[in-house]
Order: sequence, then C-alpha cells, then structure tokens
Amino acid sequence: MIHFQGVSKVYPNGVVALNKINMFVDKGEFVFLVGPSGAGKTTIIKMIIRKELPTQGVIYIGRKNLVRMRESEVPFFRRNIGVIFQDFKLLPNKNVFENVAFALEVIESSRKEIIKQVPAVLELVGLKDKAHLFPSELSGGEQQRVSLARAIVNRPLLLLADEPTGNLDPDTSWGIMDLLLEINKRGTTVIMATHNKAIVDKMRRRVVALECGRICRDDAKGVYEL
Amino acid sequence: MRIKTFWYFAKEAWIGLGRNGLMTIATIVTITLSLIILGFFYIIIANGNYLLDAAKGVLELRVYLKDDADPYALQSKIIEYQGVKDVSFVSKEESAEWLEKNLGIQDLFKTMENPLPNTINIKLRDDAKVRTLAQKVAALEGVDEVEYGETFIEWMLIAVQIVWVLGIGLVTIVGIVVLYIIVNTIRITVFARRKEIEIMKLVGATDWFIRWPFLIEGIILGLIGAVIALLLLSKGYYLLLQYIKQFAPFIPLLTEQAINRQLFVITLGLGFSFGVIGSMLSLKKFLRV
Repeated sequence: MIHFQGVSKVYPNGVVALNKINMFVDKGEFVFLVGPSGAGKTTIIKMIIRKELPTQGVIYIGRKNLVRMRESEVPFFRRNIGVIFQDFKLLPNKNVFENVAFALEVIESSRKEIIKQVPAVLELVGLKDKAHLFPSELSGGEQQRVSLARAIVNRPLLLLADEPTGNLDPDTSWGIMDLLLEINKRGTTVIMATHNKAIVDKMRRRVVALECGRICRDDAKGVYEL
Repeated sequence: MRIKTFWYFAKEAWIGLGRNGLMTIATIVTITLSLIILGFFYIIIANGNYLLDAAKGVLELRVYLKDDADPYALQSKIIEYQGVKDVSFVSKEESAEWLEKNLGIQDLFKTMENPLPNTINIKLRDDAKVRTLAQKVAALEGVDEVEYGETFIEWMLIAVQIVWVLGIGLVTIVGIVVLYIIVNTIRITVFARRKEIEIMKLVGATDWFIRWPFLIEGIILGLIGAVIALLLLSKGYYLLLQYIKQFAPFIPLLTEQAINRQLFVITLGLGFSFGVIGSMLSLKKFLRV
C-alpha cells in the first residue's frame, strides 16, 4: 500500500526532515507515527498526499510512483486519501452537513451521491442530529468528528491523521480513536502521527518511531517509548 | 462542466465581488477609466487614418518627364504599381496650351522652345503608400521629378504615427496598472478563501475547479468596466460628431456605427483579457498547496 524506499527530504532552508527512510505499510494496517516534534512525522504525511516531494528516494502509494506522478494527476490521486488535522480545518461559514458535503462538491459528485453519503457518514461519527449546526457551536471533539466525516465521506483507501487528538481532552480523544479503529476495521488503512503516549500504549498497534529524520524503531505491537 | 458546478462557480464569484465591496467598485472605475483612455486614442487614430485615406483619394502625383523619355512605356509601367488608380498623360504642348489659355497670352513660346515638361498624372487609390510610390516613380528611367502634396500628407502621416506610438505606450502602461489593480482585488477574495482552497486541494479538487470562481470574478469585473467605458465612449463620440457637423462639416469623420463596432471589440476584448489574466496571476501563489 505505502512503500518508502530510501526517502530523504531536505527543505530549501537546509533542514533535513527525513534521512533515507525505508518503510512499508500494508493494506488495512493501523500505524502510529511517534517521535518528538521535528522528527519528520508531518513530513511523511505531507509526502503521502504528495504535498511534498522527496529530495531523494522513491515513494509508492498503491501502484503509483509519487515522484514521477504528473501534476495533473495529483487531484485524482488525492481522492483516494482522507486527511484530518489537529486544527480540524473546518469552514466556519458552513454548517456540519455543508462542511462534509463540500468534500464531495469540489470533486463534482452528483447531488444524489451527496444526499446519500453525507448522512451516512454523519451517522457513523455520531453527529446526525447536529448536521445543521456550525463549527463554532460544537465542542472540539465534535469538530474533529466532522473533520473525520469529511475525510472519509469519499470512502478513501487510506486515512491520514496528523495529531488528531492534539487539541482534545483524554475522554474525547478516545472517542476519536474508537472511530478510527472502526474505520480501520472496515478496511481503510490508517496512519496516525501522534504525541499521545496513553493512546499508543493502550492500543498496542504497529508503532514507527522517528528521531531526527530516521526510523529508530518499528514494532508490530509497540508502545510510545521503550 | 456540470450545470450545477457552473452555478456553484457563479455563486462563489458573486460572493467574492460582494465581499470586496468598495474594492470591487474602485476596480471597475479604474478599468472603465483605462478603457476610456484607450478608446479615446483609438478614435483619434482611426479618424486620422480615415482622414489620410480621404486625402489620398483627391490627391494626384504629378510626374514630370525628361524630354527624351517614352511617356507611353512609363505610363504602362506606373499603372501596374500598387495603389495606382489611374494614369493620364499631358504632353508639353497641351500644358503650353493650358497655360496660354490661363494667362490669356497667344503664342507664349513662339520665340523659345517650350520649357514645360511632358507630364503623367497619377490618381491614387485609398490604400496607396504615397511616399513609397513617389520614390519608386522618381527612380524610373526618364523621370525628372515627382511632385505631390508633400507637406500635408507627410504632416498627417507623422501625426498619425505619433499618436500610434503614444497609444501603444499608453496601452502598455495602462494595461499594467489595470492588471495590478485587478490582481489585488481578486487576491483579497483569494486570501479570504485560502482555507477553502487548502481544503479543496486536500480532498482532490482540480486546479481548474478552484480557479473558475476567481476567473469568473475577474471576467465580471473586466466586462462591467468595459460596458461602462463603451457606453461613455460611444455617447462621447456621438456628441463630438454633432459638434463637428455643426461647426466644421467639411472634415470627414468615421461614422458612429463604424466606430462603435470597433470600440465594442476593443473595450470588451480588453476588459475580458484583463479579467482573465488578472485572476490567473492572483491565484498562482495560492494553488501551490
């Protein structure tokens, strides 16, 4: 599913974000990316959605070689990937339904599709009753669920989460984790970058630990720190 | 493009225009003023050319021949030249008769040889390049001298050329200013919507899908400015025609219809192009997400 081969990333300002990374993630896996800030977690996520290109090495997502992908292919490639962030990235002037529907509108899905998919995904994240509310009227956990609903409404094969619980209290965080597990159970590969030690330790999933741009640990049922 | 998508674009463009409010109005005013300046120059140039053509129509080149030249050979050569409508030959004897008649003197050249030259008169077509033609004819074997209304024609030619150069310089400067203003206006919308653009890029909207609303916004700005400019120019030219008809009816000017047709193409074409180029420029940076 995801294959990094000798991937390095040096940003124009000279910062070495990744240093010859090799990583393979299979279909249906649930992977934690852990490590201190600046270790390269976010860079990996940006590379998977092809926001950044590696300075060196090759990245395959599915059968696609991201390094050789043409610029015009990128939007269509991204439709297979959902992303959520620490800061939710919701549109404040749209309500819950519209925020989720937006992801379908901009890839020109039919109205029928939108009317079918959006309520279904809102039900999955438990926000069916709050479809008409605006982000400012929701709690942080609820906002992250909207963002999650938007990320999966197009049924992506791969879900990326960049510190999705970073702004949430522990209880709410577990709510989001349950949803991520549920989505993973349905066959979506999930990659989650996090600082949340409690969650990683309890879940006992694959942990890829990064430090200074290198992978220093890759355990099948890992914990946050050894 | 789906119809639904088009309405989405139009709606977004409309929201963008509304959000900018004062900037939108200021931009339209600037576009209007710029196009009026350009249109004004066009009117001067077009009428200058028209006047020049009209002048050519009544103009004749007089070609004085050397005595040993064969006028008929020259005549048949000249008639082939571009811009020549007709040639006629006036012999030195005919010239002498004409002169005698005019002066009222009999046997003017009785005691001396007739000094008047054989002459070929060239009538010009509208598209004639007077100076080039005169030079070409003057260079022919057997031609002594070519005479035409040099001063007037040359003055007009120079005047039209100066206006042309000024016009092109002005189009460039005004164009840059207008683009700069459109770019800034649309950039406000782009900036207000940068979060939306970011999300659109993330969920896989194509660049063109993101561009369209801004493109439409730019085109609307350009076209509104153009329409206002066109109406004002057209009305202005109408008034000018009325005025000149009253006080200087002998000056030939292009008709309103002829000018309007051209102004329509120029103002709307330029307004449209300004809008398109401006919005494309203002988006360039933000699409790199």
